[in-house]
Amino acid sequence: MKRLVLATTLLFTATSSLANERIISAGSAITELLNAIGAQQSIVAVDATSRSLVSKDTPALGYHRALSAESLIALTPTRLLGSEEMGPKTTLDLVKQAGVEVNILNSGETVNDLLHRIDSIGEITGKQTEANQLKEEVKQQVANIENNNHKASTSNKKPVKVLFLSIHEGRPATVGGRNTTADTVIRLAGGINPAAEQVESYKPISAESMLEMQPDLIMLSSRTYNSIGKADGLFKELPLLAATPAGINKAVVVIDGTALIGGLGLKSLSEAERLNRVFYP
Amino acid sequence: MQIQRLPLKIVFPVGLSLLCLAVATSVIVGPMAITLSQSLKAFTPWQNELPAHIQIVIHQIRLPRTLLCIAIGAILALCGAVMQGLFRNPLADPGIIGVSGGASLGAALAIVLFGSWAASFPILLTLGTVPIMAFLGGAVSTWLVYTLGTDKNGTSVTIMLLAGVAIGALSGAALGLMNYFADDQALRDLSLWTMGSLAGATWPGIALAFTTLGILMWVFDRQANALNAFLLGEAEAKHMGVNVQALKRSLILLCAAGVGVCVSLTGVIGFVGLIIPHLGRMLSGPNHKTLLPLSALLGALILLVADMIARVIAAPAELPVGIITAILGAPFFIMLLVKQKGRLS
Repeated sequence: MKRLVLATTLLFTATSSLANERIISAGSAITELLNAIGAQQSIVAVDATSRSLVSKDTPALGYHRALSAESLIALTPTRLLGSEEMGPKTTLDLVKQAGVEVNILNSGETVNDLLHRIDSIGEITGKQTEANQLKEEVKQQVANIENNNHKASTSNKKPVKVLFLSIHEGRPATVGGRNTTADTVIRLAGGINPAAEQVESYKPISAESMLEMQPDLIMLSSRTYNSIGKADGLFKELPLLAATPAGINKAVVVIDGTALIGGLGLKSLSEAERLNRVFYP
Repeated sequence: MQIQRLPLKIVFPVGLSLLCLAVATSVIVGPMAITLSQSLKAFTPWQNELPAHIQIVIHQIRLPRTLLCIAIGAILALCGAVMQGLFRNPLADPGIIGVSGGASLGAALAIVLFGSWAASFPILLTLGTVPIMAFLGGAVSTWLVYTLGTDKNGTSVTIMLLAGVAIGALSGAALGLMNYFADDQALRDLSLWTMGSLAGATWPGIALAFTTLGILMWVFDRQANALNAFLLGEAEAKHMGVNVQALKRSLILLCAAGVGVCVSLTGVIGFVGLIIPHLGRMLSGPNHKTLLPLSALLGALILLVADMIARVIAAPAELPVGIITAILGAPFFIMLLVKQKGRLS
């Protein structure tokens, strides 16, 4: 309901500064924020990671680290928004020369990074009011999760060990270690990520090490979950998991894959809130 | 069925005019809609009435890219022709002396170890750490291959060929090992780099490429007759008065430098160095005096066409040019094999 009210007020308060902005958004974490504060009508093109967040006919510029300078300039944008990873540098220099404002936003993994990103987007688009409102919502979500975690710990529930697996046909399964959005979401939701101590980023590990971690829950991205044939398919693919609490209870949770791209974003946070309810009902 | 060889006085003028046509097209064609008259105006600065962004696109994106394509395509094809002559092996490509594998490994080290820090690390010629490391990697692996193949009796091309394969396998393994130390960003950067792209064309880079091309053309041309003698076999060339050891050393050194420069500017672009010399031989015969300049011409032409396709086929995104050269090159190469079956075996 709150969203609906927000959206209708936005319709009537389209700021003049934004009316003639043409923004290229290179990063899903940025695109989702532009959408959330009602600036989607000024997006003229996006990168490959944002395609699911915009209408089908919005031009897609490919991978945000290999942007084509000429294509960017041809779209006559006023602004290019992206993360530190955006590139190559030659492209950015040329785009700046052509009079396009280039803004680099963080793609960090903490709630503070997200709040900071919202602030920057609000400033850039001149929609500070909406940005502040969005920040309140984010803080509210974090508070909800914390309350629930507090309740869980006072009722002596054991912290849940959650392992994020990504499985590709014919290759060893990959776990989400330190410095991944998967790890952040697990920790935010009050879980423990047993892979974080051992590996950094997404790395293939042996089934033996998974066994040693004794996860209570296996987390899969929606894409992996559907391609592997749901929970049954997972335990068929990795039969050793049967010797872990997750295998014994057939405990599998699914996370929306888009929540894992480009740092901690709104989607990651709402997934963390949902998973928190799953971990500690 | 035999492919008709054409007289040289037809081949060169036709090739040159096609190249001029391709250059013009390359400057006119791109994701941004720029009319022909606007493109022409960009080259008459005294009556400047073009919007700034169109000028930037033509002067700083399309023109540098076009020029870099010409130099890189020519160098790769030239080195390919020389390597095939030196190794007397139709499957030799410029990377056969281990230079591409070593360069990839150097680039991988730079991308994985120095990551983002490397991208902002200013070194001479505004080339970053990655190109420098790629060049060094190529140089080290070439030196290794050469040393392995050389003893007091001179350099054995067979041993070098095998050493090149081994070094290639080794760098492949090292790259695979990197997968376990690199984060996703570095991996993606690396895979893009190994497919090659001409998007990073800068004027210093273009100057370097053309200087390299000039030196190679001049030196190779002077050694064309020695290479022709080499086709008869090493001993025969020796009896004809060719200083075989000196020839091998200088050709390998120059090819390594040429390919090293190419790889460090654009990443790895495959197939050009392998296929173009064959095309050249079909058109003008095996005489290196004509084969070398013709290979350079055709290499420039083909890479330019491939890059045009890479720029516009998936616009507004851009494909790595290595994908296009492989897509164009592989079927063409197979067709060549089928037609030349009788002659090669």
